[in-house]
Amino acid sequence: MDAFETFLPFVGTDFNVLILVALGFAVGVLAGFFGMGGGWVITPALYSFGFPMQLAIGTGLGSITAQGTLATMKHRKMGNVDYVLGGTVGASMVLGVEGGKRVVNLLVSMGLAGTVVGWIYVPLLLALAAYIARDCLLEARRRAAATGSGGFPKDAGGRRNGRAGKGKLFAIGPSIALSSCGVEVSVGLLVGLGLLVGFLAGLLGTGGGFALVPAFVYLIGTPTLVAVGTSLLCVLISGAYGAFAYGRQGSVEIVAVLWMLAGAVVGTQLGAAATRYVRGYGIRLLYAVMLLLASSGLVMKQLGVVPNAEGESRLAPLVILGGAALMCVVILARMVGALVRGRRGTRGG
Amino acid sequence: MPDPAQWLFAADLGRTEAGAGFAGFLLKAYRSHPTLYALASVIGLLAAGAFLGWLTEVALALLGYETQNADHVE
Repeated sequence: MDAFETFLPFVGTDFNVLILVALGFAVGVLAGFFGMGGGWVITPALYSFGFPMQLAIGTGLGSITAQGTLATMKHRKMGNVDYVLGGTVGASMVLGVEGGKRVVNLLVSMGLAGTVVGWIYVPLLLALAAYIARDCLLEARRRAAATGSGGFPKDAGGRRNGRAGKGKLFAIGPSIALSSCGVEVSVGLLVGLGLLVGFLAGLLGTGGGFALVPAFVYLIGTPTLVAVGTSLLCVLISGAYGAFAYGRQGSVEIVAVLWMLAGAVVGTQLGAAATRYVRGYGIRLLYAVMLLLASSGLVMKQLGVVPNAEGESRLAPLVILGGAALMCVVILARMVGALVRGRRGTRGG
Repeated sequence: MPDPAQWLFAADLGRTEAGAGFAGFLLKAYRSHPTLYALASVIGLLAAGAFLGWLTEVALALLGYETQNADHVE
């Protein structure tokens, strides 16, 4: 497999290109399918493959920047981006990212970056899995019960939207009007949200879309599609700054990012196309299971389960990448199945 | 006729040199101008993302496929 090895100058080792392309592809399928970034997979996966934590974070941010460009452009064309909201939160996230990066640098100087950030990821991924599973089960229960019996009206994205059109929201200090949901929101709230999510992004090398989308929908009341589009703009702004800040200290492995991007471009399109054919709660529950696998993979990495000669866990990367690969296979297999059934139906009819 | 094994060896050598050359170029650029290097990297990543995305959109359109907006699956 030497033919597929490439030299990564900042990590300082050879690395298999196929793994990078596969990782990018898997992240692309998940991002395209779920409308959620995938940065939280890249950093733990690269870390479990032996990247130093600082480089895993920087490379994750670089990857998010490249992949986020296409998604943001697509959403902009469809009018799903609230620039006032995205600009305010995105600018605040830049400050947060800088704060997160400084904490990482401090941890690196103490020799604790891998341990601390790795362990922070574990409860975060578990919480995300719990959130998705809960959201999915609640939706299933709501659908099972008679729909439309009171409650909040649903927006175009299918989510209940309790704040929309309710005038001022958290009217403390100066506020700005958001045309996407017809409310005035306190600037302080948006800045606070941006600082918090940006800090997490800088610390963990994620985009922060997983926190921004629910915050925009449930806290502010933006329609789901606008929340997704606007969060992508925020992620792009903060990701670009993060890639710059980490790049200045030589912590972005551009070669790895480019290989991952090659896989991600194809994966994103396939994932987005699959949303037409694959539906159901099971797939979202499977996503939660994948997060659990990623979390357990990190625990294995931290504890050095089934160690190799260097004491690194051999099982951890397999569990993380295997979980993502399994998820992609299920999505793509169901898409192909639906396409085949559709063709048979067309011939039969 | 040259031995195919020699071709493979030559191709592999070329690939290795090209890879090492690019890696060396990146390291040299970073060491001499880290801020400029980081800025160029970000601009390059934004451009690469946009260009590759546009390319796949065009390719899919030529194949007759139309991708839709990625949204939550209900």
